[in-house]
Amino acid sequence: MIKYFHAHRVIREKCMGHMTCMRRCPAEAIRVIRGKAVIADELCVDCGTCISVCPSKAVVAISDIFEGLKKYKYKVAIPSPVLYSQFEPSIHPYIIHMALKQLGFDKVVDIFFASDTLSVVIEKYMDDFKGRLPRISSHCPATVRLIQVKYPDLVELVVTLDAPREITAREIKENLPIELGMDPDDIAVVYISPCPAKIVSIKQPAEKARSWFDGTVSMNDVYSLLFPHVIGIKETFDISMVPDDFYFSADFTTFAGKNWSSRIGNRLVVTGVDHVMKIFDDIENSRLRNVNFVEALTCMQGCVGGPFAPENPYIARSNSYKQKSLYENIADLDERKIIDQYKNGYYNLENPVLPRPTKYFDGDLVTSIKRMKEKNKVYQKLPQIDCGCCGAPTCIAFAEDFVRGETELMNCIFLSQKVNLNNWADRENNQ
Amino acid sequence: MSQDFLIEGNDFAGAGMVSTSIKSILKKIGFDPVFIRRIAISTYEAEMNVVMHARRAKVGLMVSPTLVEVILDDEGKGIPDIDKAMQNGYTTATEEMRALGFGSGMGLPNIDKNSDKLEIKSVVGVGTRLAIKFYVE
Repeated sequence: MIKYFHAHRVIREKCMGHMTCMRRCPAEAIRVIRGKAVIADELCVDCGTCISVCPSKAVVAISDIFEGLKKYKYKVAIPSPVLYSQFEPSIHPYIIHMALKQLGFDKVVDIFFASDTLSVVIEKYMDDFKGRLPRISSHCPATVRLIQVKYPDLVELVVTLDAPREITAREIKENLPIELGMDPDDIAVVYISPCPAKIVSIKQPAEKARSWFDGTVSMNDVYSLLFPHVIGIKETFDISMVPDDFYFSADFTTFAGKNWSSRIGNRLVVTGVDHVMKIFDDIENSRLRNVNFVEALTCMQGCVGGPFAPENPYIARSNSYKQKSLYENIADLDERKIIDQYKNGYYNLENPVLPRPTKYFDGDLVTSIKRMKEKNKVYQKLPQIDCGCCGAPTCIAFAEDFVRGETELMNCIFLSQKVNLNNWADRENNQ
Repeated sequence: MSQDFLIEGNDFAGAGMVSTSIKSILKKIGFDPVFIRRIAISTYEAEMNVVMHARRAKVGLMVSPTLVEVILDDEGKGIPDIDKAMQNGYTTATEEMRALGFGSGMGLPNIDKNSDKLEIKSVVGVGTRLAIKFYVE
């Protein structure tokens, strides 16, 4: 059985057993056992909802701390574009580059160029594509995992193009050692991530053997360290310090699909995991008939809503709009070259995305059907009010856990104390 | 294993709930995704037909290791000419419904195409019974 890596964990000492994460987890992957939250590895899709909603902040990121990166001689930071939106628009994006260098990075590279390039590639891809529609963007790794775990039929719809961050990292890994005359193993390429899903996509990619990144750090961790440097640099900052070739475009990640040209045709952007699941249900029912392209991002408002992004997503997006109007310079893209590269497979995912086999009822079809039947029987006995006191998010989930042998009926407080909802109802009626 | 569901006629807002529930049950059992897709599409089409043309319907899902069967029993106006209803593009949906993207006359043909066996019995003025069968390979 494959062991799944996740970029977040529950600190048992901090967990107060609030059950907020258990109720909100879209994959129903969390149970509260003896007062502590436990995440089921095979069901978790890394959306990070549990991190965002935990009242005791007991769900935390596992990311490479800077210590681990010290062994590298040369360190390159690739920040998610979300990082810029975490700061006031009065902070020039280049100040953030300077601050990252003060933190110990030798070079800072943006993914803007790769994301603008990929917009061209996606248009071409959609122009040429003749198969089943709509296509689903592979940009959000939590969406890809959600599809693998909960919507196995939709895996074939995932666009087989790599994400801008991976393309950027690959270009650095391929070119920088030659440019610097260094051993590639001495160069670390580090991603600053707004979400656990991107950390997981680097530590355990869904569609290839390994990522081009050597490490990832959570944006929260970086932000706290970065902030004093940003303030310090801003005091003495002069616009003439910005190099001529500095390239900034606030699009893509912070605006959820905004710069994808209308040449793609009918496209739809959906954010927030509940809404994403609703759209995926519609696609499965073949109800979404007039849409060719779906960009589904599991965080509300897209990547600016990432659980590791400290700023409120609405403020972040507003910052992003202002930064766009203040600092954006449009790149000269060599479309012909990009399309040639695309035809040579340069932007393709290494391997197709495959469903992740998730067995709710272990065993073969016969056993599974028997257990489903048993589950329905157990469910009928339960109060069906999804109180969550048993540690499962719903009565249905509890019944499923029971037939899998993972819980006892006596864990339901209504069954154990013979408190019957009907008695309460009778009492009400008699009054 | 069997389970029952209800569909209310004219409930455009809730349309799709039954097929989504059925799909979720079949996924949990662990059927092949392509197999589930055929069932989901057929059930959705049938559900839309009830919403558009009938007062209400009872839906029964029967699952065995060799066969998945969805039976819809509706109370409604019935189908006067089943052969005609089976033709691509034939529809009795109103202009308004079609303007909203429903009732393109592909419902029954689509169910027929996606299922292994489709039986329709209908009594005009009483209702229609659809038995849709899918054989597990």
